[in-house]
Amino acid sequence: MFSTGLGPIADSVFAGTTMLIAIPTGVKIFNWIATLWGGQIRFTTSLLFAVGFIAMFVIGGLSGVTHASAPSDLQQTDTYYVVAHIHYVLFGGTILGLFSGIYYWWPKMTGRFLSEGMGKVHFWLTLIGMNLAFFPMHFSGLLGMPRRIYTYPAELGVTRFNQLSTIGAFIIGIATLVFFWNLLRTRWRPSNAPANPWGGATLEWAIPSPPPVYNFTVIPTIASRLPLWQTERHGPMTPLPDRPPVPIHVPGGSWWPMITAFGLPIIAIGALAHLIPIVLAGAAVVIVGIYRWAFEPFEM
Amino acid sequence: MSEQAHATTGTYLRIAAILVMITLIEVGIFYVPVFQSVLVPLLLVLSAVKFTLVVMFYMHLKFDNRFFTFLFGGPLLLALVVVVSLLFIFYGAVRLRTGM
Amino acid sequence: MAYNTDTHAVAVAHGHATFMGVDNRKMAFWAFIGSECLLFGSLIATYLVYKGRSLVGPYPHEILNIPFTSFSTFDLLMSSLAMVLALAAVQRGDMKKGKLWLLVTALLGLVFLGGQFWEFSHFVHEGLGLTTNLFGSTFYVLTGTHGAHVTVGVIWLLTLWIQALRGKLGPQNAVTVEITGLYWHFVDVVWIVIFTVVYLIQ
Repeated sequence: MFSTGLGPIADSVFAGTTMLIAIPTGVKIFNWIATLWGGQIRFTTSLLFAVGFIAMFVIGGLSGVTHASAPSDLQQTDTYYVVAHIHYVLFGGTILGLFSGIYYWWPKMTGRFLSEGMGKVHFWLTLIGMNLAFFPMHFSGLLGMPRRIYTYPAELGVTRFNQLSTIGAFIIGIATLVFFWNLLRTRWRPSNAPANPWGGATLEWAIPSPPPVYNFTVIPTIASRLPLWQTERHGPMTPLPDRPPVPIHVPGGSWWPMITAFGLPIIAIGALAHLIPIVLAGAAVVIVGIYRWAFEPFEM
Repeated sequence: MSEQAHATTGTYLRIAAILVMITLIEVGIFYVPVFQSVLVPLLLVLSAVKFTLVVMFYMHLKFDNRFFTFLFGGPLLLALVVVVSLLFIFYGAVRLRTGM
Repeated sequence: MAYNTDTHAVAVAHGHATFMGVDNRKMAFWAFIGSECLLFGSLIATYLVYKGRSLVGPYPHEILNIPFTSFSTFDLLMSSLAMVLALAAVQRGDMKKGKLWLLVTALLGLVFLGGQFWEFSHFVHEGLGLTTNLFGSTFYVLTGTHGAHVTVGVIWLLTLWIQALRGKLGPQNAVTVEITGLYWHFVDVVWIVIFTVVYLIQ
């Protein structure tokens, strides 16, 4: 973006604000470490992914800071150095965090456990594959390998790096297949997850797995940020009743909003393909959807 | 004119009359050459008045919970800022001072 | 797990008790109107930015018809009056007047749309198409989007009118008429801005 000719003032503003973002980001990194500090660390799959997330995200953040400087970014922009950066933050950061959350909350959402053994295979293959795929891109990018081109001359000297990336990508693919199999397999496992399989302290672990449609039988009264635990100043919160003492009003679900929304891409596809009948069909879906949605009975 | 929590039919009719009058004035000063130099600011002010009247009274914003005013006013302000900023970016301050 | 849902009937006048004490549908709709401000704001900004930069004609001063458009403006203003009278009627339970004013609002909206159709076809006939020049593109997209909003509003009003004919509309669900009014007035207000910025400030 610094190569688009914005001028020195705009460049400086963007460079400055981008560097400034590194400060709260750094605070976040310390937050995440502090969350782990002093705790009893059990190396569940979820934790492995969480720690992996912190590490990979820091690496991605470091290359991100180099983008903040306009002169160095002028060399990096539109090269694979950027691709390395974004994949470290997005895959190493967001996706690893996502995996961590899935392993953590899967028993709560579905009432069944994911296999820890397969989870660990998933983790290590992902970590190795991800680094193998994206770390070499730092080098190939700085050697000048451009983005969004599909073939490169051998003289550029990035062939080896790209081959490593390919191997890494396939390893990620295998890891993800293991993950999907792990997810699918829970269909045939017993629904035996307790309310609090990890000994967590927060409110979601106070209700059954999977939770009833109304979630909480009563609105809980809490006195600390760790309601389920005994803390220095507070005992654990009083357990929730098994059944709701007063009737709980749960709004009825409806398919019509989703159906209405589904009409919009149909309109768009018809417009892109220059096919009026498809546009009209999509419009019909939207209109019918809106009417059926509006006139649906209010209660369940 | 009882307007504590609600405007009356009479108020609505009066507002309608004011809106029509302002529109006539706007069209009028468009055609009268005397006003050419102040046309733009005058028109903007007059339409702002029309806008405010419709929003405050017809859309009942004056009598409703203050929160709605924020809910509408925020994006409205943002839209105005965006429009003015775009004008500055693409026109530069000089053209704006000499009028469009 | 034994639980009951509320079994009270479809009474939506007061809605359910809410945290802030305002009807959640009205709040949602004001938020939507806020977003529409940004939509029309960006279209108006685009029009303004490209104003005076068309390379070929027809140009605004050659083709815009102020007297005709003043009539359209007047028509929409009157439709807003009709809308507000419809709401007042429904709120006090006068469904006869309510139905009448709803229909009048819709008809005035149709008159506006008719005028837009006539204006657009006249412009096309004069050589101003969507891709003719910058003025054509920005003008048709801005006023076309507004016209599409008016069309949706007319359909909405007629639906409400039909509901009233079937006896399904009354003071107990006056909020739905109020929200219809919010939409309709907003469409009118946008037209006020368009009339000033596109037609009067050339």
